[in-house]
Amino acid sequence: MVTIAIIHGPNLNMLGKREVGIYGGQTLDDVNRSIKEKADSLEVKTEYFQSNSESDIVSYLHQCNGRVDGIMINAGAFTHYSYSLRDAIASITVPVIEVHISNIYKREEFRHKSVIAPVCVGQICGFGTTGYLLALKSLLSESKYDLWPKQQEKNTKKRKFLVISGPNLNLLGDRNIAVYGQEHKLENIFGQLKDVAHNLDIEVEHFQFNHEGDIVDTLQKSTGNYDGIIINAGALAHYSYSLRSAIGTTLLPCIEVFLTNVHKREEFRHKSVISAVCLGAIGGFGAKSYLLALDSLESLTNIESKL
Amino acid sequence: MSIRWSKIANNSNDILMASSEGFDSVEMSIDYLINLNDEEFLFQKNLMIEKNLFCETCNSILPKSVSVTEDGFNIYVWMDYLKKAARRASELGCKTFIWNNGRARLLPLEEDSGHAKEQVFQFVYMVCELLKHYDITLLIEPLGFTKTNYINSINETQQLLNLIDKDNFSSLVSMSGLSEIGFQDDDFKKFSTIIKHVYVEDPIASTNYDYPNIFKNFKSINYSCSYSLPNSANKESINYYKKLLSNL
Repeated sequence: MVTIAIIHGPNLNMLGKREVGIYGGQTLDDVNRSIKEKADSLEVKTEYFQSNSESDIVSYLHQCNGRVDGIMINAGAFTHYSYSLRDAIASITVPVIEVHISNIYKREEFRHKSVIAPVCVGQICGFGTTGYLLALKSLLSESKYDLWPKQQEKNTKKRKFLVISGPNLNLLGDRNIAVYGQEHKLENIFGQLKDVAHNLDIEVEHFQFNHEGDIVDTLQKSTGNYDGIIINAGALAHYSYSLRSAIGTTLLPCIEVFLTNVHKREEFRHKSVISAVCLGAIGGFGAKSYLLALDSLESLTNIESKL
Repeated sequence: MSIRWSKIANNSNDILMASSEGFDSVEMSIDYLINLNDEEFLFQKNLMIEKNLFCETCNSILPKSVSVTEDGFNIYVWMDYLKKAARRASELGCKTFIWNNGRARLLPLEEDSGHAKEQVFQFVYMVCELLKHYDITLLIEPLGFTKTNYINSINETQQLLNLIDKDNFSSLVSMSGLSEIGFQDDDFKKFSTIIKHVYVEDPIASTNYDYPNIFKNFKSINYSCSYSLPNSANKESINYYKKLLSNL
C-alpha cells in the first residue's frame, strides 16, 4: 500500500483560529480528516506530522526517506527562508509536493519566494484545504488510481471552461525536451483534458496562441460564455501586465498552470505577474497540471462536490 | 407578490416568537446557519415547517472578521463556505443573501485600492453564479462612512450593479442608514427597481423616525418585497406598520 506523509509547518496548528479570511475556518484536524477520507477511498495510507520547530521537521523528513512513497508539505513561513528545510528535502529521494492554503502570490512580497520550491516536484497554492487533495492526486499514478471524479448526477448546469495555452506551447514535444519532455504534445494534453472533462459533463474549449493580443481578445470575450479559465501563459506569465489586466476584468475564476516547476529554472521564471489575479497556481506536474486545474475548477463551480 | 414581514432571529426561541407574533418569515445570519451542526439545522428546519415560517433573507455574507479586500483573501475557501450556506438557506426557503457588513469591503487606506476592488468584483460575480443555482439573489447595502469606505451611496451601488451585470444581484436600504448614505426622497423613484429589501426599525422601541413619510415613499414606488424588523420587534410593531400602510 502506498504511504503518503503530510507535514504541516509552523502555526498550522492554529488553523481555523487565525486569519480566517486567508486560511478559512477549518481546523488542522478537519484538514487531516478530509485528506484521510480521500486517501482511504483510494486505499492510500497517510501519516500526519505538525511542528512549529524547524529541526523537528528536518528530522521527520529524514525519517520519511525510504519509508514513505510521497510527501506533501505546507512549510508555513519556513517556506520563505528555511535553507535547512530545503537541504533536508534535497537530501531525500522521496517526491515532495509543496502546498499552500493561500495564494502566496496575492500576499506580502516576502511570501512570493519559496526557498523549498526548487527542490520540490511542484507547487500547489491558493485552493484552501482542497490543495492537499490535489497534492495527494498529484503524487499518485493515474494508471493505478481512479483519480478524476465523475459526475454522479446532473445537479449543476453544464459548465464550460476556457483553456488557454500561451506562446511556444504549440511546440511541446519538439522543443526543449530536456525540460518539457517528449511525451506530451499539446493535442495529447488537451485530448486527455477533454476526456476527463467529458466524464464530468463539462465542456472545455482549448486555444493556443503565440500572440499576446489574441489571448487578451479571447479573455475579454470570456465573461458570460465560460464558467472558469485555466491558463498556461508560457513566458507571458512573467511579464505581461496586459494579460494580468485581462484576467482581472473577466471576473471568472482563473487557475494558472505551469507544466514545469518554474522555480527550478531561470530566475526570471520565478515571478508570475498574473498569479495575483488568479485563484491559485499549479505547477511542476507536466500534463497533470492541467488535469489538477480542471479538478479544482470543477470542485469550485460544482455546487455539491468537494473533489 | 405582496409585502412580507420578517424578524431577525438568532435561535429557535426567536422562531417560535416570530410565529406567534404574526411574522411571515425570519432573517438569520449566514454565520449562524453555518455553525449549526446537522442535527441542530434539521431541528430548526422542521420547526420552521411546523410553524409555517420561512427564512426569506440571510444577512452578513461573511463572518465578521473576514474581509474580501484583504491581501490573500481566499475566494476558494469562502466559496466553499457559501456553498454550504446556500444549500442550507435554500432548504429554509431563502430568496436573498445580504451583504451588509461594511468591514468585509473595507478598502486599504494607504495603498492602491484597485486590486482590492478587483477582488470584490470577482467575489460578487462568483457568488451570484453560485446563488443562481438556488434562485437566490445577492443584495448589497450601501453603507455610511462610519461602517465602510466602499459603496457608500445608492449611486455607487447602481454603478457596481451595472459593472457586475447579473440578474441576481441587486440592492436594499435600511431606514436607519438613509441619511448617512445621502438618500433623498427623489431617490425612491430613481432607484425603485433596485430596492429589493428594506430594514426598518422597531416603531415601538424607537420614535426617532418619521415613519409615515418613509412608508409613504415606499408605497409611492409600489414596494412589494420584504421588510425586516429588529429582533426586539413584536406583534405590536408589525401591527403598527400594517395599520400605517393601510391608512396611507
